[in-house]
Amino acid sequence: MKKKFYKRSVAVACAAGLLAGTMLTGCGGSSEETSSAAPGAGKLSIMCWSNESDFAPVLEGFQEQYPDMEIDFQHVPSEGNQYQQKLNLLANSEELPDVYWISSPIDNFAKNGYMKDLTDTEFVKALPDIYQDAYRYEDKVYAYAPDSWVGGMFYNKDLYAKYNFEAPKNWNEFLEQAEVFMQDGIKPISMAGAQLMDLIIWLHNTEDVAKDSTLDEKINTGEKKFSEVYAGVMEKWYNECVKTGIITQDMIGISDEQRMDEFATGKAAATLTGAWAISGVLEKNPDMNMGIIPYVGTQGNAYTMGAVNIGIAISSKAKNEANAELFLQYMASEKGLQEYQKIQNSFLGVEGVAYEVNPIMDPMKQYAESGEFYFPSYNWTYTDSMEPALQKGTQEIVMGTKTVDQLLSEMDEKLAVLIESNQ
Amino acid sequence: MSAKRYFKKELPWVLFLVPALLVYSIVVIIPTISTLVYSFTDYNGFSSAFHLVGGKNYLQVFQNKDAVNSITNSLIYGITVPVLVTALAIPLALVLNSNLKTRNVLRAVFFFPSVISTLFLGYIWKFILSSSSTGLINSLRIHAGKEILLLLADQKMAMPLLILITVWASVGWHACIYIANLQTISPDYYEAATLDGASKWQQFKSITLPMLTPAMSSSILLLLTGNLKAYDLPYALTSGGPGTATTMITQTIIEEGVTSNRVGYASAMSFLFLIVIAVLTISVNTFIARREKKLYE
Amino acid sequence: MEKKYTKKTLLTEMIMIFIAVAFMIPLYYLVVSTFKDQQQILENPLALPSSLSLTNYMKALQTMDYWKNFGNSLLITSVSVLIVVIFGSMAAYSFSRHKTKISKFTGFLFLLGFMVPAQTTMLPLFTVMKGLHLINTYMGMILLHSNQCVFAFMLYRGFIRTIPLELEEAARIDGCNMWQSFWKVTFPLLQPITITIVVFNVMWIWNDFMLTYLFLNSSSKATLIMQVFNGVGTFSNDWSMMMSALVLALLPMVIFYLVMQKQIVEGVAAGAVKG
Repeated sequence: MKKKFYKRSVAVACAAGLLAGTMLTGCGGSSEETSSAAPGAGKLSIMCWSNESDFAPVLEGFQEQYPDMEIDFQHVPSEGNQYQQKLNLLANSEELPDVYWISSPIDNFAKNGYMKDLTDTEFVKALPDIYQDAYRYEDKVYAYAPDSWVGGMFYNKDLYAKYNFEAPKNWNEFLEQAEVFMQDGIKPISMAGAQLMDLIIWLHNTEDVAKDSTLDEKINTGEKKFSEVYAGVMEKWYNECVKTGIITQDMIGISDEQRMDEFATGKAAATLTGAWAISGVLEKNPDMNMGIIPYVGTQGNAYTMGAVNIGIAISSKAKNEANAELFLQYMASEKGLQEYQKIQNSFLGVEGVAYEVNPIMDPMKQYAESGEFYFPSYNWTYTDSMEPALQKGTQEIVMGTKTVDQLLSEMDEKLAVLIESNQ
Repeated sequence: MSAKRYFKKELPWVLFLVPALLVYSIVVIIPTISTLVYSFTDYNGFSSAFHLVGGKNYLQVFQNKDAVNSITNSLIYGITVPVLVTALAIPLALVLNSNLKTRNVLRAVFFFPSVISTLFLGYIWKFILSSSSTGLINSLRIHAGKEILLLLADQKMAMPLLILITVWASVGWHACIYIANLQTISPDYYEAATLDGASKWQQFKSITLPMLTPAMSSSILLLLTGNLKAYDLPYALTSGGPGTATTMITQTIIEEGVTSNRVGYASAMSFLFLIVIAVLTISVNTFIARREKKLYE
Repeated sequence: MEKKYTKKTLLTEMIMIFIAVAFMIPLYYLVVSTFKDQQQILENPLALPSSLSLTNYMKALQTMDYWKNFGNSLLITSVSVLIVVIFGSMAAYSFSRHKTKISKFTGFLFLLGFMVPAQTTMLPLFTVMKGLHLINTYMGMILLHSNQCVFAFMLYRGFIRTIPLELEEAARIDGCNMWQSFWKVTFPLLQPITITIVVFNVMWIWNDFMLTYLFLNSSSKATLIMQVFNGVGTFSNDWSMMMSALVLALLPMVIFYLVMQKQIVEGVAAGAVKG
C-alpha cells in the first residue's frame, strides 16, 4: 500500500515536471528540429503581417509547387508596433521563424546576426539599387523587398468639382481650399489618431527632403538633432494646420477605418493614404469617384510619401533553411510576384514582370519610377520607439498640453538614451 | 525520530506541494528573479554581453516623465476602480438579495459583462465612445442635432471613461461575492437590532458592513491586483491615448523592454511596480484582516 | 423569513429593471448591429434590425477558421483547468493539514506571486520558455495557464479549513494512504469551491489575451480570442462583420454562462467568501 502511494505521488510529481517542462525532451530533442528532409518536403515557418486570407493566394501558389511541405503560417497584425514587438521577443529568445517579414531599418537585427545574408542571391541581384539599399547594412543586403508603396492625397473628385476646385498644385492652394471646406463643415482631410503627423511628413518631404535627402540619416548618426531638422516644418504645421483647424482634437479618437468612412461618405474631402485603401473605400461607397495627387510643396514641387515595401528575410538560424530559400525563390518568380503585388496594390521594382495597378494610381507611377517618394520614419534607426513618440507628441500638441519645442527636445533626449543603451 | 523516518513521514506532504510549486517556479519565481538581476544591468535583449550598472536604471525611472506618468495612471486607475466597485457592489448586493421578484434575472444581467473578454469589451466600448461621428453616442447626438463630443479623444475624459467602463464590467461579479456573504448573516442580528429600535442605516453600519468583511477581503484583493496590472482593456480602448493620458505602466514596460530593447531599464520599472503592488495589497489586506479579527472577538 | 412585498419593493424593482436595461445597452448595441449593414448602423444605431439576416455572420465565419480556433481554445482551457484544480487542491491540502516551515514558506511565496503581472516578467519568461522548447506550443500555453493553481490554492486553503478532520482520520484507519484519502474523501467534499475555481478559470483562461498573444504564433494554433484580435485589421473595413466576429467569439462563454448560471452566480461566490 505504502509503496503504491509513493509510486503514485512520485508519478504525479514527475508528470508535473514533464508537463511543466518537457525538460527531458527539450534538452535531448534539438536534433529533430533541424530538418533533414529533402528540400521541398519537411517544414517551413513563415511570419507575416499580412493576414492569412490576404496572403492565401501566394501560399497556395507555393504549395502547388511543393505539395509535401508543411507550412506553419504565423500572422501578427502590424498596428501599433505589435509586429515588431513580437519579432523582437522571438529574436531575443532565438526563436525566429524560418522566413519573416521585417520593415526597414534593419540595423539592430543585422548587427546582432539574426538575418541571413542574401546579397549574392539571384533574386536580390535582380532588384534595382534603391530596393537593395533599403535593406542594406554594412554593404550586405539582408532582405528581399520586391515592391514599393507610393501614396499621396486621395481626394473626392465629385466634391472638388462641386466647389469648382482642381486638385491643389501647391501647399498654399491646399490651405485655401481647406478653409472653404471647413466653412461648410467638411473636413479638408480625414485623419486617424495615429497619423496626425502625416502633414508634418508632407511638409518635411516637400520643403526639406526634396533639397537634402540625407537629413534623417544625419539624425541617426547624431550629426543633427530632431529639433534642428524638424523645428521649421513643425512650426509651419502647427500654425497652418493645427491653429487653422484642419487638424482637430476629435481626430485623436478616430480609428483608421473611421477616417476612411468619413472620406467615403463625403464628410471629408480628402485623406492621406496608399493604394491598399482603395478597395475598402469602394466597398463603403461603390460610387466614389476619387483621384490622387502627390504631396505638393510651397513652390509647387512634388515629393510624395512612400517607401520600399517591407522586406522578406531568412533567419540566420533557420531550422529549414533550404525550404526558406525555395520560398524566397518562389516569391521572386513571376507568379509569386504577381500574387504578392495584388495584396497591397503596390508598384513592383522588378523589371519585366507584368502587373496592374488600379487606374486611380496612374498619376503616381512616375514617382514610383523616379524614386521621388519618401517616408522619414523608415530612415530612423530607432523608428519603433521614435515614431510612437512623435505620434503621442502630436496628439498632445493638438490637445494643447505640449508645445512643438517641448516635443522636439523630448525626442532628442529619447534618441540619445536609445543610442546610449544600444551601444 | 530518526532522519529516515522523518523523511518518510514528510515526503508525501512535500510531494503534494511539488507540482504547484514547480509550475509556479517556472512561470513566476525564475522570471521574477531574472527581472531583478536584469534591473541592475544594461542588458538590451539582443547581445548576450551586458554589464552591471548599479542603481542607474532605477534612478532613470524616477527621472523619466513617461515612466512617472504611467505609474501615476496605473495607481489612479488601480485604486479608483476598487473603491468605486466596492462602493457600488455592496448596495447592489443588498438590493439583489432582497425579495425582488426578478432578482435572479437581475443578478444574471449584472454579472454578464464578466463573462466577456476584456479585450472585446474594449472594442465594443470603442464603437460606442469614439470621437468620430460614426460612434454610437456621437451619431445619436447628430440625430438629435447636437454637437459631437470628444469623449475618448479628450484628455480629461479618457481616464474617467476608462474607469467607468471597468466598473461597469466588474460590479456584477463583485456584487455576487457580497450576496453570498450576505446570505451567511443570521437574520437574528437584525431582529434584535429592530427590537432595540435601530434604524436601517444603523443596522447597515453596525451589522451588515462589519459582517461583510470576509467578502470584502477577497473582493478587494482581486480588484487591487487585477486592476493595478491592467493591460488588455486600456490597450483595446485607447491604446494609452489621447497622448499619454491612459498609458498604464504595463504598456510602458512592454514598450521600453520589447520595442526599445531597454530590458534593464524596463526590468527596473517592473520591479519597482511590483513593490508598489505588494505594499498596497499587503497593507490593505492586513487592514481588512484586522477588522476580520475584531469581528470574531 | 421573506419580507413582505410592499409598494416600496415594487418601486425598487422598477428602478432596478430600468438600471439593468441601461446596463445591457452596450451588448444590445453589439448584437443588433450584427444584423445590419454599415449604413443602417449609422442611421439607426439602436433600432431593432429590419430582418434577422445572417449575412454578416456567414461572412465572418468564412474569414475565420471558427471550429479550428474553437477547438484550440477548448483544448487549452480544459487541460489547463484540470491541472489547476489538481495541483491547486493538492498543494492547499498539504498546506492546511500539515504546517511545516516548508509549507508555510510555499504559502508565502504563492501570495507574492499573485501580485506579479505577467507583463513585467515576460522577457525572462520568454527565455525560460525557450529553454524548455515550449514557445508556440499548446503544452507551453497549458503550463503558463496552470500557474493559476496559485489562485486555486488560495481558495482551497480557506475551504479545507472548514472541513472536519474526522473523515480523513477514519479513512486512514481503514488503511487508506494519503493519496487515496485525499481523492476519495477530502476532494469530493471540496466540490463547492471546486466549481468556483473551475468557473473562474474557464473564464480567465478562455478569455486570456496577453499570454496567448506573447507565446502562441501559429495561425493554426490560435485561440478564438486571438483570431478576432488578429482579424481586427481584416474586419476593420466592415465593422458589422467585425461585430459579428466578436459575437461569434464570445458565444461559447455566453453559453457556458447560461448553462452554469446557477452555479456561477450563487455557488461561485459562496466559495470566494469562505476562501
